[in-house]
Amino acid sequence: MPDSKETIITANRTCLDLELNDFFKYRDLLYLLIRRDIVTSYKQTILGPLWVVIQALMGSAVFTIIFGNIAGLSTDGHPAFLFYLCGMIGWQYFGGVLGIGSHSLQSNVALFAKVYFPRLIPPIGQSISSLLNFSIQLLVFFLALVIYNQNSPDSSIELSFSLILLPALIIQTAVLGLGLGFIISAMSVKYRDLARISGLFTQFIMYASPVIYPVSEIPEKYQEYMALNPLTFIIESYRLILLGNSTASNLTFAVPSIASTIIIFLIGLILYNKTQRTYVDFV
Amino acid sequence: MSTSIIQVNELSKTYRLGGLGLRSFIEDLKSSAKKFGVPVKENANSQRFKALDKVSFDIEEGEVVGIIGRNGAGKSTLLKILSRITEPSSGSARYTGRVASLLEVGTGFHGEMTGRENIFLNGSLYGLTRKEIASKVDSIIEFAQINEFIDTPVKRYSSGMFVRLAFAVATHLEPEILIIDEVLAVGDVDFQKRCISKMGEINKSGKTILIVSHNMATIGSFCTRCILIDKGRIIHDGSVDEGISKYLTLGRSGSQLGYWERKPKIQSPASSNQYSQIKSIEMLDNSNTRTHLLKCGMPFSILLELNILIETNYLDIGVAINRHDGIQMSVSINSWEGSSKKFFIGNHKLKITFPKIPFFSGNYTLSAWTKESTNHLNDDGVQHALSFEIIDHNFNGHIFDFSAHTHAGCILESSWSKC
Repeated sequence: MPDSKETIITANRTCLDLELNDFFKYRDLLYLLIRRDIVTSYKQTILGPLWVVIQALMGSAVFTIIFGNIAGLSTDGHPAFLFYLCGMIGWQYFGGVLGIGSHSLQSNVALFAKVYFPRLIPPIGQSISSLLNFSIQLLVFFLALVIYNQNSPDSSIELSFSLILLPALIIQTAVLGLGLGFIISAMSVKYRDLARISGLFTQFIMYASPVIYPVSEIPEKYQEYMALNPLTFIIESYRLILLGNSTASNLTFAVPSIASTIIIFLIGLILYNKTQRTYVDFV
Repeated sequence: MSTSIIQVNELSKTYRLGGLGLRSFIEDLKSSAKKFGVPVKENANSQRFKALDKVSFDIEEGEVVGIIGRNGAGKSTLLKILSRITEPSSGSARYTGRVASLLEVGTGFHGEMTGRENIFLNGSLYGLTRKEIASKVDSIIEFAQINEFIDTPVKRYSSGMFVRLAFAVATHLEPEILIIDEVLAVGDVDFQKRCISKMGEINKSGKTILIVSHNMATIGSFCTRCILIDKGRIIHDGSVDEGISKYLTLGRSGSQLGYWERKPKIQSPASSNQYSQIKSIEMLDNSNTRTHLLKCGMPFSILLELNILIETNYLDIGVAINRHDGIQMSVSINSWEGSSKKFFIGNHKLKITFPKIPFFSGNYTLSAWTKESTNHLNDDGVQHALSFEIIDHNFNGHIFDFSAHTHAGCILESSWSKC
């Protein structure tokens, strides 16, 4: 089929030109990349997806022992293991997407330097395909929940209708992770200094977010500062949806979180898009 | 509305030289400060390099354009900009339709996936939909000749199979504009031939092709137009033969024409087991003056200066003439003509005389080499040391009609008689 669309290449296009038409045109590529990631993700491993399970269980067990038993941090009345597992699942997906975003220009340079296609496709595709690991961990969580409910029928945890909000929460997690990742990726193309500290930065965000402690543990006068961190609402909302209650999944936390997620994503998108146009000249 | 399928208008691309670090960061800060109207002193030392300097051309639908130039002339930068891999620093380009640009064979192939899966992935990388690829997958597999391996992960492929598959996908993309960078230099001879004929087919269906190559044979046989780029500027746009001949004489000033001399600073010094070294090559016309212009049918000679480093009884010396498209037209070797192969240490001058040059007008290059027969490797060699032009067709006093004989490579002396 002849394509008579005209393409114009110019210098210094406006930074708002996000090539979204092209993104739609290449949707089959997005599908095929996601398929590729999923098909090849457990190649040449013996335990395959079991590693994802082990990772979640070990992580939560370590947290339960160190922060629950030894440090004696509160878990907002939730069973400690489930509390940490729930926080871990949300955090690990966020951290994964942040990693994907912050390496997207750097790890795809071989491809980006040889063929044009919308540069947003690989990181978005990878964020979607890493939902596979997320789903496996979620399954582990539900299994742990069933086991818990059988062992302690008095304080059993019922899943509520709020579960239908989970997809929206996952989208917000991914959008925030990608937005922040895009900013890091774009800013570390020319000068790699930022990439040096991004690991440290990720760790810092984890401890600044209520992954290993509930917001209720923070003195009330500091809680408004916690609201400035968009992840506070996100992690606490995983607890609301999966464990039934949370101190910080309410409008006071939701509005700044959703607003800053959108702003960070837009900034990331614009920076990423502006950088990708000429970044092969620097890498 | 013009009928051009590609319009390139004053396209420039500037690169900054030197490394990226604190110094370049400060410069970046200065230039962004300048954008916001803050007066800053520009660093005069900041070195910039113009890879492309206001390049403009139009390409009509169906043209096959060869882009040639020396390494670093700006060819690849031009292709990168047209392929939307990087943006120009100024100027613009526009084109109509889909572009498939093959800057590398096998881009985006994933080793763990089968050949068939890779066809889909690679096709979609170039903007095809799954439906479009599905309709072509059989003919791609047939072209690549890997039927029995198509459901095997490509990491188990031989490099030849891999390249064939990648090229098969590339040639089946059916874009309006195909951009190719040197990829024809892959695969075995048979596959290369099929690639060339496939290219011809693509072009016959009215598609436009842009090809960058250092292989003048490809450019000469395949292109309808030639753009020669040097130092970021177009210095020739039009006839292929003329473009190629200009390319071959690039960077040779008048005094160097018809003469080549070893430059010890550039060429590597002789190794300890080397018998001989070619010091200079000079082309002389029939009155023994240096020249780079020869007349068809007239005598000429080559003056070869050799430095013998180790005494030998078995030194073969050869001179070869190549046509502009790379085809070797003739070779002469000392031993064939009964000349002595024995050489003592020191400088030697040899004169090789050709009584009649049998080639048609055009551009040619001269190469020379030496070889010690007991040693299987070439002793010394200078490829395309000097280029020369044959300017008219005066053979046996007869002036030819050029257009009637363009297909011939040379004229063999012959005698005709009725019997």
